Amino acid sequence: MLLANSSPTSVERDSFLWREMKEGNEAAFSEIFDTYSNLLFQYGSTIINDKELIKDCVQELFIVIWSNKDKLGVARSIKYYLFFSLRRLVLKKAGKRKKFFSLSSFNHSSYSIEPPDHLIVMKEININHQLIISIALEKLPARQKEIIFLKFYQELKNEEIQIIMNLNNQVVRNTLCKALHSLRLQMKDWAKNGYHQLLITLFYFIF
Amino acid sequence: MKNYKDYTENEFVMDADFLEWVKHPSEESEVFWASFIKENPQKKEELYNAKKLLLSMVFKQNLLQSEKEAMWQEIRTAMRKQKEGKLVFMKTGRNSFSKMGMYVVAALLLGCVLFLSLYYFTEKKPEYVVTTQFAEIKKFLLPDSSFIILNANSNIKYSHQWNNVSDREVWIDGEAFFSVRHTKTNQKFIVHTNEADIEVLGTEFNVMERDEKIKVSLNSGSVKISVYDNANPVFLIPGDILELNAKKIQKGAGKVEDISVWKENKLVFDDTPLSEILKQLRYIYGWEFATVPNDVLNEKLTGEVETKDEKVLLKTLERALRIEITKQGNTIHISRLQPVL
Repeated sequence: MLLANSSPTSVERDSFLWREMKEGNEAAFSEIFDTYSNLLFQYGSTIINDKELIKDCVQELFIVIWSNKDKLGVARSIKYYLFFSLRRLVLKKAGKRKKFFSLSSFNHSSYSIEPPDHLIVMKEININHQLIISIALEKLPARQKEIIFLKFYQELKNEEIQIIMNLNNQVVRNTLCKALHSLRLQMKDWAKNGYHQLLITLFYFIF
Repeated sequence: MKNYKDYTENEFVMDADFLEWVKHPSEESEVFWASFIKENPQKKEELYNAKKLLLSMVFKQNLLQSEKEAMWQEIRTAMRKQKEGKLVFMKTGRNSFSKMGMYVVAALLLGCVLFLSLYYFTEKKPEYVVTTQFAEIKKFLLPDSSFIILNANSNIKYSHQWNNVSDREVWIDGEAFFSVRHTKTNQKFIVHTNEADIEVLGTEFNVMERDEKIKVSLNSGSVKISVYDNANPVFLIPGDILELNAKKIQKGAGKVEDISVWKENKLVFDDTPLSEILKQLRYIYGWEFATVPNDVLNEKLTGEVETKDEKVLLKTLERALRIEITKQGNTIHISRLQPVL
């Protein structure tokens, strides 16, 4: 599931699974885990560059949900709820371990070159272009990366992002603009210096 | 109406409707943006760049399947511990109930049991039917928590009364993927089709019954198939595919994951002739294929297509086979794309 969308059927399925899970249905719970664990991991990776910590948090989040399932409300959107909860957990744990948020500085293990989801997309997008953007994304400060993930990759509304990240509307808008701006700057850089720089960077990572 | 004429590239990127079109194009939005470009050709580059940027934002940090499974195991362990913990809690909790409260609960329970048994003996067993429309996939759980994914244009019937003693039985028409739970009492799970019964304890398998043809493919566990009027049952092991056509049984091995990939809104072809592909599309969407050149029918295709969006699907086929597809209502016409020279 590369592009998680929120079509009416997936919303319906989500709320069905959530209700079942609240009733104690393990199959439904497992289905929720299956659907969202990777997405949550991806989201966590935009907040902090610590794979093990994120995995722990995702795991803990699901355990907490299961043990509190009777008390949980009817989630309007599971994704939104999970993101919101995961973020708090990650920040709490990261603070406990007294670790600074490493700006998710880019390390070569963290991205891979994969063909995009379907044929049509592949035709329209130059692989180089996508590679450049994924490198540029990695270089963004954590908060900008996070907001890009939520807004453009997960298609959440500004109001939802506001609540998840605990920012006010103006800050959300500004951070978005800043993130887009620095993405563009980097891309311009690439364009100016040609692709050979990209190759050099790649070599640098590989060796 | 927003004044897109004055939008900058950034404003396009930030626009919710624009994003919706880029990520999930619909017929309506395609028409809207196509005509927008036609009327405002000077905006074409900004629009294209914005779209390119949005589509390129892909986050590729993924969990490995093994990592995911390990996490799930940990969660399961915690769940089991909680269960045990809760039982202890309930035992101590019960002491706080007053004796009077216990009597009230007992009386209520007795009432419930009486009512339910009365209902059970007087009512006929009602049947449940789950049906899907064309291009619709439904996921649901049976009373025993077995998970079913029902493909488009299909239905499953089952009786209302399930207990933990008797066989679990369902009747299928169309195609479904079954993830059957194994029960403590080793109850059988039986799928009835026109020509055979498929019997399992707890496994994952795909059943298709279309056009009097039955196809069963086994992903895990084991399956016993009893063809009607045939004394010898057939047993499948994971990876096996059984086809049944007019009492003729054919068993082979193949990529069973590809067969059940429809549950992710995809179809996988491996050197599959177009004639076979069109058949599958007829099952899923209910399309009729009016004119198809014979030589195209034999063309083979290998790869994966998404079935969620029929426009994307048809476009993909057009490009892959260099054909032209026109759709009027439910009728599809296919013609060879004439070479430009």
